Amino acid sequence: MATMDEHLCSDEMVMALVDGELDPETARRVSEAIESDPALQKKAVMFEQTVSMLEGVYDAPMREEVPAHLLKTVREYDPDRDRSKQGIFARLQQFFSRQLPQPAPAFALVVVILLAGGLYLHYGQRPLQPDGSGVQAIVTSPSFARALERSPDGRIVALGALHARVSPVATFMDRHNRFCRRYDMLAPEDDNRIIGRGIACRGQEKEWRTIVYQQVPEQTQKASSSYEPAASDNPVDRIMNRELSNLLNEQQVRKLIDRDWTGP
Amino acid sequence: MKRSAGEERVFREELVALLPRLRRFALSLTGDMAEADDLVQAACEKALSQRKQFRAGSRLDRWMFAIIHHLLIDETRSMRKKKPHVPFDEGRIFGRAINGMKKLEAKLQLQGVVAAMRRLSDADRQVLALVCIDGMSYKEAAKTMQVPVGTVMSRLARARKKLYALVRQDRGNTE
Repeated sequence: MATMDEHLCSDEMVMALVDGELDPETARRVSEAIESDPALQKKAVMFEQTVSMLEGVYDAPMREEVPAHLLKTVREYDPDRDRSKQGIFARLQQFFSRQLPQPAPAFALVVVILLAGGLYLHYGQRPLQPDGSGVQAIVTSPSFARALERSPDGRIVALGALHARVSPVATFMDRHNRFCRRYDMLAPEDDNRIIGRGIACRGQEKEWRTIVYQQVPEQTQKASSSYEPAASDNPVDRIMNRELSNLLNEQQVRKLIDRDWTGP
Repeated sequence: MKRSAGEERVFREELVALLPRLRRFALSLTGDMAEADDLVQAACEKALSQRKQFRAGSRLDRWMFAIIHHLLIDETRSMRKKKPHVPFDEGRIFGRAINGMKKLEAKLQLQGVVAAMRRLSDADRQVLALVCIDGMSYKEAAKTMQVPVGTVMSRLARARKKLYALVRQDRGNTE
């Protein structure tokens, strides 16, 4: 009996009563227990308050319009087209998941990945190194394009398996009316070390093509969240100095991202 | 079995109708609107790529919430750990919740709640988002999280106690 009473007075039961989750008989018994115990009354008030605390805090998305890029994704995203752009690993994974019974696909995939990974590390292009090797694979990857397509200036985006991070620093429209973004390439582990700087411009097929990339000499530099004009004369800074008057502000960039890079 | 064009259209329109809830759920998990939108976009792409796995007649919202949470765990946890703290855009997060209340007091309270939510674990935020923010029943939350109802109850009680303590602590520090 004592165990039953303890159960009725547990946090979970008091909370369930507050949330209206108990059947009438259990609710009556828990209510009686609460009425005779000030500590349980406090607990009930606490559970009630947590609901009112959270009420409305995150409701902005329920009132505002859904961003155009999200609607476009849901209405127009074509997974088959996307699949054709996927890498060999993703396709192998899909192949195994279709062809083999569980848990064989997982095992087979692990074997394939280990083999491929070994070959990749031995012969292939290594992940981004401090000396800048591996950059080509990164700046032509879908995750890099996605980071520039979707991230406001100042945000650091991890590029997953590519072992690198990119951070758009400034955005402008160039003389050919293309949107371009100056970005920092950051070391995968260190929060602030910049490995390289580049400028990529957006093409008609939503591709972000890097037009200039400058490796940063091995030294510790802090990533900045906004663009600061540079005094040096390297190709990246030269372009940026030329485009200073065409820089877009934070709000303009956010709007462009929301509108899928359409409009001024 | 290939879906007909009609089924495909209905699926996409149901997904469109869900977007505000998905964004709110993702916002409550991440605390950042832009990050939340990235998460919802990735989840929609995943859902459209794997829609054969979605059984007609089952609840699309549960499926999408589960995808969002898995994506958050799988892909963004390590990234967010390393990411510098970006101050949230209060106007955007709080929306009109501030209107009609004593502005400063409300703002402080909301700031405290958002900050406290950030300090909870992903699992705590998930259960709070499903039950206290989205209004799911324990049973619905359990199905979404693919855990027994008892687990939902214990996680939820724990998360609410932690949230309450953190908000009180924060209030005590500012008073």
